Amino acid sequence: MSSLPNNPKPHIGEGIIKNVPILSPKEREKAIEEMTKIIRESNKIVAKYSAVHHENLHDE
Amino acid sequence: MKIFTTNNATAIGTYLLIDNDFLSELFRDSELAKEFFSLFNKNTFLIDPLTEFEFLRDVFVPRHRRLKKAFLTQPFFLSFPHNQEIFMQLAENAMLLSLIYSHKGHNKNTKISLVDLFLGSRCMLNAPSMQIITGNKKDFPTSVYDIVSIINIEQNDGSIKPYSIVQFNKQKFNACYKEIQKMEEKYEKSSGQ
Repeated sequence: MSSLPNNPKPHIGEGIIKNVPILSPKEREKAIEEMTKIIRESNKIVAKYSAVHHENLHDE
Repeated sequence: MKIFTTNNATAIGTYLLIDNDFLSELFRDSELAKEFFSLFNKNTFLIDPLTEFEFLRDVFVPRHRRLKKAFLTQPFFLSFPHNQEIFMQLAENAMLLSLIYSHKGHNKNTKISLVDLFLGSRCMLNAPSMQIITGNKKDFPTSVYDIVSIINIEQNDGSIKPYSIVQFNKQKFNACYKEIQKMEEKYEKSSGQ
């Protein structure tokens, strides 16, 4: 297909995906466990800072 | 939160590019994330550098920032290395998509975001094996993309939020591209260039 004059040309299907992770069921289970910990920890921080922000708003 | 999928959800492609809204949804609820990664255990989840930027931006609590970074390094996710040559191809695709969207009037009311233009562009570069999961379907218009499946996620307030899995359609793109080529030729002739 010709490209538009003075314009970009389309790149379709030229990309390559490398280093695709292949996880064994055990590795997958371990990763899910680790991810769960991270999310729970993050939620605690979000809850803490939301509460602080809420208190500050009330102080104002 | 719970996942509800359409019947063809398991027929989705191997490589799923995750938009920031869906990534953030997973990061909010460990049960949801667990269910999602168990349901789609044959897929590879890809994170674009721009999505990574969106996910990490504006987080001022250092511990929270570290947790978000740790989340992205989980082995479920595959990041793309920064590469100038690939960036130039992505930028060219994104520019063409923006011309098509503009011609079709898709960005008439609200402009399609820069990040979503580049996600669409990456999907085009890696077609047909890559699909995008996004809550912002309007940034991936039907004139160029097909909906492969819908994932519905029950929110804490009981409402349901739909996430679309979309795929670049080469035939649709070529048809749109021909239209803008013809239009450009017409303009050039009429202006005597």
